[in-house]
Amino acid sequence: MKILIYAEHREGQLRKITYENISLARTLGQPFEVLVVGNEVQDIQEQLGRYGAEQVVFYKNAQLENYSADGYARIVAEAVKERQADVLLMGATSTGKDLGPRVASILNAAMATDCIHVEMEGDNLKLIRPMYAGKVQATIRLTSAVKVVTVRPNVYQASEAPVTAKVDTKEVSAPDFKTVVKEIVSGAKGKLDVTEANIIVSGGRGMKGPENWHLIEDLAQLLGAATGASRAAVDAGWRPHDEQVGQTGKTVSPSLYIAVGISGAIQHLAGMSSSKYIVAINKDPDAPIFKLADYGIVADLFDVVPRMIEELKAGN
Amino acid sequence: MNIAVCVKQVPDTETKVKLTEDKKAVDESEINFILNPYDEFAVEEALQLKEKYDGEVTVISLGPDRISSAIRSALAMGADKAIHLQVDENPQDPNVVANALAAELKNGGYDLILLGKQAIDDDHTQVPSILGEKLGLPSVTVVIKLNIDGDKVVAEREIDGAHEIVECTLPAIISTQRGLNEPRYASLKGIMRAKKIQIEQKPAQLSDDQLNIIGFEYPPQKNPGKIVGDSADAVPELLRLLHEEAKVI
Amino acid sequence: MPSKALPSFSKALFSGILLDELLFPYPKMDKEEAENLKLVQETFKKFADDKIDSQKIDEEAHIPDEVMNGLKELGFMGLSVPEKYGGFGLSNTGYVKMLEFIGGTDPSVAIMLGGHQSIGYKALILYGTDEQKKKYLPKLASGEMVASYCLTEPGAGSDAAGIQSKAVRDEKRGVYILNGNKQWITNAGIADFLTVFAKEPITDKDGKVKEKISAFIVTRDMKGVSVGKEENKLGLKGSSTASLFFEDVEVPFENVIGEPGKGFKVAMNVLNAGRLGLSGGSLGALKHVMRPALAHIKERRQFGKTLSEFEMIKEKVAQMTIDLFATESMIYLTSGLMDRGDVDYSLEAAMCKVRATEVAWNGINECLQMVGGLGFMKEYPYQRLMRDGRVNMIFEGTNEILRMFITLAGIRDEGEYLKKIGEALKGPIKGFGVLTDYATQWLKDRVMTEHIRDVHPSLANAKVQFETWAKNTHFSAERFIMHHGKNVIYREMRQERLANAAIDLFGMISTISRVDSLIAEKGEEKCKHEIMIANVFADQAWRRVRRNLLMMDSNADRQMGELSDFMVKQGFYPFATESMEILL
Ligand SMILES: Cc1cc2nc3c(=O)[nH]c(=O)nc-3n(C[C@H](O)[C@H](O)[C@H](O)COP(=O)(O)OP(=O)(O)OC[C@H]3O[C@@H](n4cnc5c(N)ncnc54)[C@H](O)[C@@H]3O)c2cc1C
Ligand SMILES: Cc1cc2nc3c(=O)[nH]c(=O)nc-3n(C[C@H](O)[C@H](O)[C@H](O)COP(=O)(O)OP(=O)(O)OC[C@H]3O[C@@H](n4cnc5c(N)ncnc54)[C@H](O)[C@@H]3O)c2cc1C
Repeated sequence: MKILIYAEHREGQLRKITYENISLARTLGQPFEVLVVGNEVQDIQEQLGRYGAEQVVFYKNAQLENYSADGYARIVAEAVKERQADVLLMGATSTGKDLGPRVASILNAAMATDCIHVEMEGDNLKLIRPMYAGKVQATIRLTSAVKVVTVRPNVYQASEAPVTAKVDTKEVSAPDFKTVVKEIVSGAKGKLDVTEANIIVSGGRGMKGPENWHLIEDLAQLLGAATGASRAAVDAGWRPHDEQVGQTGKTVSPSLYIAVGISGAIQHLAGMSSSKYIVAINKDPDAPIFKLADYGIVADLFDVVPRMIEELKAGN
Repeated sequence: MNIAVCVKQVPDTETKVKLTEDKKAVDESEINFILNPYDEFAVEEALQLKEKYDGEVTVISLGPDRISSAIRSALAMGADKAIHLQVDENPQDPNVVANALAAELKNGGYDLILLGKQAIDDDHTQVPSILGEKLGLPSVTVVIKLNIDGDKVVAEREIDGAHEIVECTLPAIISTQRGLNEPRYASLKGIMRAKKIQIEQKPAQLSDDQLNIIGFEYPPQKNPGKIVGDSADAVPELLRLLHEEAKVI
Repeated sequence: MPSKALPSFSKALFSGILLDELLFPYPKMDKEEAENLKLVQETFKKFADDKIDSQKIDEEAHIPDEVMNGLKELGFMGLSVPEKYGGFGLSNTGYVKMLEFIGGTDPSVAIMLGGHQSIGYKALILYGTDEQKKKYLPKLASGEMVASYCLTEPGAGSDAAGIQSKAVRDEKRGVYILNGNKQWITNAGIADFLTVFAKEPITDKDGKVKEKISAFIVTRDMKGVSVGKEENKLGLKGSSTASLFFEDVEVPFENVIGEPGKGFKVAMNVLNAGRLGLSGGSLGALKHVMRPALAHIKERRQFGKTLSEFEMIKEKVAQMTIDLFATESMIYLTSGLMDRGDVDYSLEAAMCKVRATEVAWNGINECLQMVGGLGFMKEYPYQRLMRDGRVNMIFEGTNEILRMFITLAGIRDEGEYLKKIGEALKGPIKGFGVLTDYATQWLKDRVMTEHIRDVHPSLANAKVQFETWAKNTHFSAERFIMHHGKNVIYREMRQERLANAAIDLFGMISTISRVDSLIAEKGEEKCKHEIMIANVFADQAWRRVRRNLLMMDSNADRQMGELSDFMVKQGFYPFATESMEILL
């Protein structure tokens, strides 16, 4: 069973999920190749080689500089055919979720979104994916000839296994684009997105107002974390929509999730319950968040968070 | 503007999902069903566009009999017509759903097709993209800002950590994300109006499932955590645990 | 109520007749209405989640304009206004369910909405002319006008027939001149449409002039209408409560609701109809606090166990559940009777109000108790719902007055046999359950029944208990009349016992009917807990009935009365203990 791993990149940089997927493919013991689609992508050979990719194919065209849904879909589908891959492995990122189904549709393939477990079972894949916002997990099997699988970021560790990657570059002709990306507007400069972050510090209604958010931001900065928020905080207009974690926000699975002044409503838990470690800071001992938290402090966040910042700054 | 909104009925976000004894399916007996929250943004956007440009909003939904209440919710918000594509059971493969919707949408002459970015039950997040391919139309997903001028569409979509501004032309498919608008509440007048609209019923055209669910499990139980303390004095201990026990910082 | 109304189940029960055909099968909502109601609830829930902050409403003693305007725009002010007048046209059952739902979200909002539509414009719906309805109902339904029900006065609370407000006809100008003042009127501060009860001199058949009550539509824009300052209350702080003053207000003749001089009946029937809304709202509030309370006892550990593992805590949880279920069964059985439109439901509605307000009060109290000191803290909802729920036992007829009503109206037909007593029973609290001659005759033609229809075997025991104690209650009521003759009206402690027995019996039969219908629908397997509740309730209820009936004959009522008289004369607690000689 041959696997083709779609390498995700933005602004010329390869993204972490690609390495995670290479590491995953190695454990499956199946032949795999990495597909890069774009124009200028940096350090392909070096980076992909470091994580163990021996064969890389680079489908290149100046018009592919920026991602375009239908344009990319055509190229990726072509690559799957040309490389005779049985499985297309992607990240369950915004790109993977947008592009995956299109490629699948072109190839008449079935697709599994957001898998948290991928394993060989005979000559097929056994896939586990959360449904109902993670309240249950489904084991699924795809029966189509070609299969598209997207894997949730941060579930598989990217582990290094240096080899020398062989990169075959192929100039492709760009198809007509029905949609054109005019511009990418980055959020606050250098801001880390919650879905990719290894550590997230999230604030809720307990923060009392946007004027106190510096506490969340300072703590996040010290930990190298992204900032998140509950819907209550977003609805109140304290935080932007893209920070909302939960059933109708982002689903995250960082190594560490710190919930500050968040009660832990079922819809919030749905978005972060698969975090490896959860810390809750809340003054209500009955707050449901404590049921899920690995570590909790039942106290006023306005005492606890400044103290954390202080201790971290002191390097203790 | 002739607008179609594809909606789905899903369990309420507060639902505790229970499995049947053999764990082959979800036990629906105690579930309260609602209109998929992301679809509300789609309905709202359609209504706003209709208010601006005139036209008609048709709600299309695929599912078993029980989905009529979700269709009514959308009608109660202000949609004009509804088509119910009937199935005995929701298909497991989103591709099958997209095929059936495409078959219905193909001949509707719609200028714009709106749907929520994802249904919060199976969370496949596939249908809007597949529809684009099936219908050969531009499709922009996870949209948080939409501007339509003549047949020119400018959409802002959310991607990880940034936003993309995308252009295309009508007819087009747009999948909606929170932030796009504030869905209106269905007023009592709207509910009464909806009651009088006849929902068009027709069997869905089903293709073969290529995605099979073998079974379900509950997510592994977390071990009960520990309360490190009840004042800020617990902070050093917390940091020590995170560093030494969890090894995450 | 139509003149050919059938007698009520409970009135017949006092007479030894079990009209089980009124109660079986348990009423079921129309499918289409049920679907609509679900949508309305969804709308309310979304709106409330986004916009209603109960703690803030309580603290600021005000429902924000955004919430008021939202409720109006969405149509919540016209839940029970018929569709042709621009409302949503809910059935009584649908309406009560909505108030339960709203009461379970925010009691202040529920009472604002209830004051407006359960009683505020109810007289217009029940007795208004088509013209009056056309003129006002659309505005009331849209919330352009908010309504108040204005009966209570400084000198007339429970004794509502004693109101002093006066309306005098000025034939030349075609208006009444209205003078008087009303007190503690819900929505007074925001209302534009006032249903005002006042006395007018009426000449009766034999030429005598008597002061009789009439009901008037008074609008806020009429000259001479003014509002007092907002009361500072224990609870329901967000709802407006204030006095209203009427000074030479000119009210056009066409603003009389119903017949002149028949206003007391209007006032009472509005309350009869409104009581279920309040009952539903009370239960909603209890359901609302049960959630956090149940979550707390599951988590909180003492003595190495969770609170939920302790027996006394279990007892509380089980008891409130049983009481809730039984009361709910009574309420929706009664609302079903209202929706039939051909039965007298006034007694049942009163029973529901008494039971629901007390079950809610006790239940909320127990929830607060279960969570301990936390329940006393303002950050948690327990204390607020307790404060909000307290007045439910006072307004829309105090529970004492309603107990008198239940017994006295209930035994009136028995009294009819002994003509004189029948007359006396009409006396004490005017307008008590106006049973039609038709119904009386209908009842007289019946013979005593000892059994109700067969029910599912799992409920057979409860059924036998019901039948046994229904019969005993009938005999007890008969003895009460025979022993005390027309003095029954002064024997309030006994009235209270009979009323309590009747409420328990109605609770038993309501649960039996509900669970019997449930079993028929879902099968016994799926109704395990419901069957258990019906049986435990029946067991608890018949023991209470027995005790109440025993105390009809053997009690310390005389001493209790004497002691109270002594105390009132003293004016303070006079019994000193050692070194506490300075009395409090
Ligand atoms: C359809 C639908 C979808 C939803 N989707 C989402 C979603 O995606 N994500 C989401 O988050 N929510 C979602 N919700 C909303 C969810 O139900 C909750 O309302 C929300 O998560 C509550 O946010 P919160 O925990 O910040 O606020 P609250 O529940 O108000 O909790 C605030 C917490 O702060 C604590 N606190 C207050 N002051 C202090 C202090 N000084 N020190 C310490 N602690 C303090 C309090 O004890 C409390 O526990 C959704 C709801 C619906 C109906
Ligand atoms: C928040 C609030 C809102 C209100 N809203 C309205 C409204 O919208 N419209 C309106 O018209 N009124 C309204 N009321 C008034 C309410 O209906 C009266 O308070 C109620 O009827 C009781 O009257 P009272 O307070 O004068 O008490 P009283 O009649 O003085 O009674 C005091 C006590 O004596 C008992 N009692 C009286 N008579 C007897 C008897 N014969 N036997 C045994 N016990 C007896 C009563 O049960 C009570 O316990 C409101 C009151 C409140 C507090």
